[in-house]
Amino acid sequence: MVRPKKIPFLNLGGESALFLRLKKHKDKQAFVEAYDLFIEQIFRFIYFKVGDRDEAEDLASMVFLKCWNYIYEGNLQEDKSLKALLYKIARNTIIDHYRQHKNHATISLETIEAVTPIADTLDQEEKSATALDFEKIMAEKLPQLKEEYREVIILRFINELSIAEIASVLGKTNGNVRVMIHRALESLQQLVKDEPEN
Amino acid sequence: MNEKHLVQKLAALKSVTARPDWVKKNREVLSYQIFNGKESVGVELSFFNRLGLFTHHLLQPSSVASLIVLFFIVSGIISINASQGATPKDVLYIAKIISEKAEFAVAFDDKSKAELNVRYAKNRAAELNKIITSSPAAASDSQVQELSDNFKKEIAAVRERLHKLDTEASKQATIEAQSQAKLKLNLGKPETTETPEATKQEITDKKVEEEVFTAESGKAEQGIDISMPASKVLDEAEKLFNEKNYDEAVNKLSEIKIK
Repeated sequence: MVRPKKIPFLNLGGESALFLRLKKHKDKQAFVEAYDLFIEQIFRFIYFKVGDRDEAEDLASMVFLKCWNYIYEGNLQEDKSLKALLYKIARNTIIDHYRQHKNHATISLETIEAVTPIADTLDQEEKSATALDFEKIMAEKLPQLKEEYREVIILRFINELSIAEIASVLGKTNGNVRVMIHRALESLQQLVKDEPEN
Repeated sequence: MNEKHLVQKLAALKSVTARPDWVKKNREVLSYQIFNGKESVGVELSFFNRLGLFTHHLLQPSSVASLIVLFFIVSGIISINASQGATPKDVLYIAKIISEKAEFAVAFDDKSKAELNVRYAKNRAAELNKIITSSPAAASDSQVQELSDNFKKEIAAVRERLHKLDTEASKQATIEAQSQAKLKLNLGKPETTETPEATKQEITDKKVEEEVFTAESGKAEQGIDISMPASKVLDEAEKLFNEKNYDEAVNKLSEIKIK
């Protein structure tokens, strides 16, 4: 993947600069740079929601195409952040996907082992039996959480968004988000309490 | 597991990433799409290029910018139209595939998607026919195989959607038949004959298949349209394709019309 050089005092590649270029000029190069910046986290968000790598790839492609169409049609005026916009589109795309397929994909251990083991994405040197175990546990437990709890867990702890960013994505206040995170973590702890720490 | 430990474990899941080859390929497709068919290369801009770009954007009047946008829209439409007859050997073929994918992504329901699958199957057969007839020596085995595989994939997708549509329509028809029967009962009109359940189901199934998805295969001597179930048309089209009669396969697929 080719990343354009970033010049320090004329940084045209930072998130807010990209957003400005898109908002003011619908800069196509800026959108491609935004793709480089956000594709991994958008893919990860969708993957932990739908549980299937191929579906996550298809949906992630669709998210960026929809985002470009949204920008191209001049709808970017009310939005304040490209990241939040991408996540919102990703959430809506997943909802549409669920509606069309009328079932929530759940990740099962068998699916993980047979089809798309999450663990395969780790560098071989980093893999350990404990890491694999935890991924499998999460793959099994995350789908058991309420949808909104699962979302905040993925956004906050896996994709490391700030409270304000999550609030912007979900359309809630910062306070609501803090409470949701607390409750989500409690629920997840309950689900994994019987699992060994190591 | 305590909260701190759980959070640490969750953070480790950040190492889950998309496949690098998929990310790269998707980037190329996206670039191509938004740059309207031009091959996009990851350009390393120099300092002066970036400064020029920045200044240019600042000084550009909005009316001229609108004209530029209009130019890209028109050239995009022209390039997509020009790509319709493209085969895998042509430069514009990728634009054709991208426009098919974009069209499919916005298709609303199974019926629209089935219609698109039929169209794409016809496209693959037509492309194969064009490659074989125009330059048989130049047609590579891999291209022929890929087009054949894609044709079969589209046909399989049509069959699946057809089955889904039939199932849904069948349920609807059964519900309708039941409410009609209830209505008659409430009005005190006796049902004329007791049709056995199996026959009722057969009649419903046949009616549904004809209504949902039919092929106009011709007219009877009396000038009445004869409808052939689409699955039979698909079988015949596939058979013609396997016999390398690609032209006839395209014509056969054209007989499918969704009501």
